[in-house]
Amino acid sequence: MLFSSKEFLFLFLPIVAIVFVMLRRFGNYRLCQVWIMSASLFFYGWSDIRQVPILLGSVIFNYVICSWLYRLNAAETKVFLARMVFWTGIIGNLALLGYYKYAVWLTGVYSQLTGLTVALPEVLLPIGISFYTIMQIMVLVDAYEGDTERAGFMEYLTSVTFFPCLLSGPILQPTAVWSQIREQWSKPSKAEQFVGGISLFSIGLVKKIAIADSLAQWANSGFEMAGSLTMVEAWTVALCYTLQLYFDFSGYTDMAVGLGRMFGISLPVNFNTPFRSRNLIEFWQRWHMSLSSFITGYVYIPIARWLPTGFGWSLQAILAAMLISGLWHGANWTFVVWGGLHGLAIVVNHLWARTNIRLGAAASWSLTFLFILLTFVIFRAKNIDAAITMYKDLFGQHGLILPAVLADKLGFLNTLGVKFGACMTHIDPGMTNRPLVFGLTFLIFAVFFQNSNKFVEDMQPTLETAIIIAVVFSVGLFHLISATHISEFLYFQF
Amino acid sequence: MIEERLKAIILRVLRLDDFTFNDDTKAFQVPGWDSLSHMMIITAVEKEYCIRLRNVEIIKMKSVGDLQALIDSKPHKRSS
Repeated sequence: MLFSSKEFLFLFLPIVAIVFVMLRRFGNYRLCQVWIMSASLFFYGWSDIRQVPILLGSVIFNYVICSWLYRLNAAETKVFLARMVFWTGIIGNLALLGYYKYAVWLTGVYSQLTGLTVALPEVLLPIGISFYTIMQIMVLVDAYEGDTERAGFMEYLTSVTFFPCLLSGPILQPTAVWSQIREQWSKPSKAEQFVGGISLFSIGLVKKIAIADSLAQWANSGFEMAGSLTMVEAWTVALCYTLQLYFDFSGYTDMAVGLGRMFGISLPVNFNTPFRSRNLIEFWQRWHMSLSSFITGYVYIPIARWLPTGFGWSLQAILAAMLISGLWHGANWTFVVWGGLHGLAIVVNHLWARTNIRLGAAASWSLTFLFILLTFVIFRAKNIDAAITMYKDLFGQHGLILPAVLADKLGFLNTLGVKFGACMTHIDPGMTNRPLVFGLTFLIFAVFFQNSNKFVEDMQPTLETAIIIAVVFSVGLFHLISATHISEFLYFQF
Repeated sequence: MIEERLKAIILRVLRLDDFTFNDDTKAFQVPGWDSLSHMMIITAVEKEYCIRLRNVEIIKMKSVGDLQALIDSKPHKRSS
């Protein structure tokens, strides 16, 4: 079920929230737990009930392994057995993810390399599997390392399947959810939690339906027409996709964090105005922050500790971690290359930081944003060839046509082969400059507007705030009701 | 309170001449303290104090004071 669907907004959410508020009055968090767990499984199974057993199987497997690890840790004598149990858990999780997400791709790569045909049946990727798998790997690692906070099965199940963050994060240690469940759900709901939650949800709804889905039409047409786009058109498409991805995913996260708040659970912030970044290190501290935390804590740190000490080795650990981060996004070379490019850029960034050369704010911002935009082309492309086709368009394969309005001022460029006229013929049916104007406008929003989480944090209960939120919610609702098709969130495919 | 010994390790890894640390000092407040130098500091601390920090402990660490408390909580080698 999508957060931005009518059935979620008008049926599921009101029913679940009203019953939840009533149950919280009893002061027994277990009642709330049963209700939210049931609601989460219903939410998950709504689009395809066949995926529920896979989710439950994963949860039961991990819970059994974790319980065993806790017992072995308490005994403090069975170190070897604990290591075996831990690796069984890790391999089990990776095998599940590998089977559904990577098996078909890997056999394709194997067939290409060896010439032998290995055919595996196509399997449908269970939604959210990448997210709930790594969240449970976090619990396993912590249990193995002796994190003493443990949960009963119902707490564990409710935390992992908690519907606001089940499908696409934000990624958090389930321990953080169950400790809040115990603390929060035994007390009555607070009005301010609901108000803050609804406000953030409304902002997310507008980001998704009004902004991301508008940009999607141009980004999608552009990538379909790659190979015939003019230069301005190609850059507009790349800009529209970059912003679509940001508004789509940050919109989803705002809705998820908002829902979490409504249900008394604080979820981590995932985006902190990432397009303000002036270098790649900063970008990864602001973009998909919960994934960055996971990659730092559970991929980079173990690799860095495994390698010898030293600056050069640490850089290699970063590169390896970023390649894994890229591959986590999907079974395609495009993601591996994307992760590798970002890893290399972060390495260059660290090396650069050791010199005394400093670029100005405008130059460092432009370079960073240009790199992000160009690498999102490969992230979006269906395969490497499609990405190369798009890059050729971006670098002027089909010449440069500038908007006709610029002909008077820049007419002298004619001598260099620059033409003037309709330059959005492939991506905008009306052949207007709307995609470029919208793209640049939303870029200004993304860079200069206050972060939505910060806005809600600082929100004062005034009439002015109420009007702003009511307008935002109405805009979202208007788009939702008038939309003929609600698109899925982009990160659902990961 | 932050020991001079810990301060010296951090300054050496970050190649800083001096910096005033207190218990609440966060990584982002210290020039050059990012995820890469964080691990270099952890490794240097482990070597200097002959201790082993767990993954969970490294992740949960929020300030220099937390790092000091973590060192103090483990049996470690005294300065020679």
